[in-house]
Amino acid sequence: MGDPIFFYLFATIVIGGAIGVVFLSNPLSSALSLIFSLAGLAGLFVLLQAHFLAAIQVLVYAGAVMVLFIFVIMMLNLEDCKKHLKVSFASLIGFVIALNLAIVLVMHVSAPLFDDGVSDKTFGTIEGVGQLMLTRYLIPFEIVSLLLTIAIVGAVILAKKDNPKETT
Amino acid sequence: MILLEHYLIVASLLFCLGLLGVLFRRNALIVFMSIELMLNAGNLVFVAFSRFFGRMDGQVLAFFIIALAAAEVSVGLAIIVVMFRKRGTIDINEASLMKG
Amino acid sequence: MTIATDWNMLLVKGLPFLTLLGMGLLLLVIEVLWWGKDKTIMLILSLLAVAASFYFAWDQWIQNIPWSQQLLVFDRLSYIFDLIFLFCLLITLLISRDHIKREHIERGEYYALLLLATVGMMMMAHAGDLMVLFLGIEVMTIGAYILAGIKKRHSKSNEAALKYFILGGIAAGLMVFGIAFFYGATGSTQLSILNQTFAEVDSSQSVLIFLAVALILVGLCFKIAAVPFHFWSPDVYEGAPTTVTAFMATAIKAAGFVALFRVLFIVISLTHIPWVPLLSTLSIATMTVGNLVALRQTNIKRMLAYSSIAHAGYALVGLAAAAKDNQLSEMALGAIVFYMMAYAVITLGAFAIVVAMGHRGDEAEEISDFAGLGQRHPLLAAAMTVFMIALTGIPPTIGFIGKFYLFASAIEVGLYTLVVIGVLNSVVSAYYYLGVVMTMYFKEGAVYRWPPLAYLLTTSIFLTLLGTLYWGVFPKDLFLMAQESVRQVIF
Repeated sequence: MGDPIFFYLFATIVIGGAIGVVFLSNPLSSALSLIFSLAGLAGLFVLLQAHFLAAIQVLVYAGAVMVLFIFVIMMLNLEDCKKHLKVSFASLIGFVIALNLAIVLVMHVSAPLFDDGVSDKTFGTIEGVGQLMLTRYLIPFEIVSLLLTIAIVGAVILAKKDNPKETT
Repeated sequence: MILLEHYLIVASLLFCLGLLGVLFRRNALIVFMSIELMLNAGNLVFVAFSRFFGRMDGQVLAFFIIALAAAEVSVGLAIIVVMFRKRGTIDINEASLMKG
Repeated sequence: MTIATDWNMLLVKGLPFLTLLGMGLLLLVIEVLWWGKDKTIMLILSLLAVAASFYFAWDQWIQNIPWSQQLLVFDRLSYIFDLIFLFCLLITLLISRDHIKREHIERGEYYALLLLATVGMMMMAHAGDLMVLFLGIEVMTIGAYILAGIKKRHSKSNEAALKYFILGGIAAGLMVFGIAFFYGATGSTQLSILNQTFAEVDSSQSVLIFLAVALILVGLCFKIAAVPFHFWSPDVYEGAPTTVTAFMATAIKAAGFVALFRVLFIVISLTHIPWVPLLSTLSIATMTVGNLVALRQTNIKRMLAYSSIAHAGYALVGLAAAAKDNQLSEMALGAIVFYMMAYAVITLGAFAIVVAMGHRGDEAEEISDFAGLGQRHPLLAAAMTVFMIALTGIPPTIGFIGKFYLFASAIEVGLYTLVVIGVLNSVVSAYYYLGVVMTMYFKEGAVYRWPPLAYLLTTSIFLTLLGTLYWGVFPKDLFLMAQESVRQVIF
């Protein structure tokens, strides 16, 4: 099951990064904390024997997505947010409910152990995941491809500067 | 010994932090990042249970969520860029014209 | 665990959404290659796709051979919702042309995104697996973000897109977390698996399932804009282009309800959740808040937005009635399906008139812009009057019939308080709906020349008007169809 030290190390990185995202006032520092958090998550994925997913997490999330984020932050040249936390009554209630749910969860899920004997050699490899993705989960896979198409089209038509001739 | 519940606790914490960010931060970019945290908390749960059951379904599902998050981010950042060009701010409250 | 899929069968059964999908992608290609400035061809192609898809869905509905591929299910419930989405899409396309021309947002992607978003909705209607359901929701919502923000030069449109995006993001985060716990509790995201696992549920598992269901339902409540998850949705409706608002208020709402059905069908048998009080509370809060806030709106789109919240509340009355005795009763479900159709027809008509009122540079979004319409354009005013009466729920319109069936199904199971509150709410809503009628007939308006109505707009107003009145007098066939649709639901 791996060394507990690694779990605690990665868990600390994940949670510490998340705290950074939420509480730092500069968007760039938040983005950097998010990278830490996501990379730590990739570490947890490795501990859970999801090696392929860990690689994807680093490539797509900590890589591509975060580069996009930082690129936008740089482009907009944002300053620190003053008064960056705004607490309203309604959102406070929402948060308290969510916290309660989490506590209920922690209290009630009675620690079932991992069964250590994952006999399947392909567990977590690109072969195993790929096989499943293109057989059983083919339809969701296709829907995801549609989703990405829509997102690309959308990003282009939204962010593209208009032809000035069309301006009213 | 690290158990399933340890992973679930980390995921819950991550989720709550994400929700905290979404509800309390006013900077649209940071709200997006917090949404990413929430999605990742879901992914951690998927992968932890996938290991627990010894079946890979959860990993495939987590994979879909990663793709989805990438799609959302690209559209969301495009919206932010358009908003900033037009209004010069990405603070959700400051940018709010409509009320009622 | 592999699924032996009969791909030919899937191809035939899936024709309604495959047609739209194909045409949506084709339109994206044509947009790139097309040299002319005139986009009429896009509209014609979209309408052809809608017609073909409508035919296939209708054909499948008539044939009535339920089939499940585990991830996708094909039964009458899904096909009737396909038909509802297609109707909404049809009217949206018809009212779009003139509006997007004067707003300078006429581009092929507009049509393509409408079609592809509808594909997402159909995925929700056909979902037999939570992941398909969720991805369908995301296809629909991401399409809707883009459409809401497509008027790039308008601050309100930007704001609508941003707010919708954040709302959608929160809903997505909640639902992913919920689905993950569902997977944890059952070992699968397939909805039908829950029926099999019920036999041996231990306590930690039931906590997981409870959490999963709660999170997923909250996520869906964001989609139907139920109180208290409705904040910002009026802003989104106001800021988005009017045609897109019409689409969001009708099709997306219907899609949210079909997703709720799919989830509730399964989880309703969880006896430790007090379904009836839960859904009743949600319903009362939704309709009351929606109606009370609608009272003081001066913007017609915003008013219709709050009215759509209120109508989601009425439909939830049906859901509360259906949830009695921990199994969804056919009559109440049929009433909700009927109500979704009724609401879609009426609301699309009202939005068509809002679009018809607009000119270049003046979108006539205030209720006061309707002043004097009764003298200047009697036919348009008469049509609007019919729609407002129908939204209030006064006979002889489909709005009355829809509410009648809903409340009747609630009385059948003894939810009298809920019905009384529902009726009181309808009375309150009369104030602002009929306020629009009063403005049209009894207030002097600014003198402007009404442009001649474009024939596509006239067609759509005529169609919705016909539907509102015809089915208001002869609702039997439509109601039987709705009842038939919920009779044999498979998972």
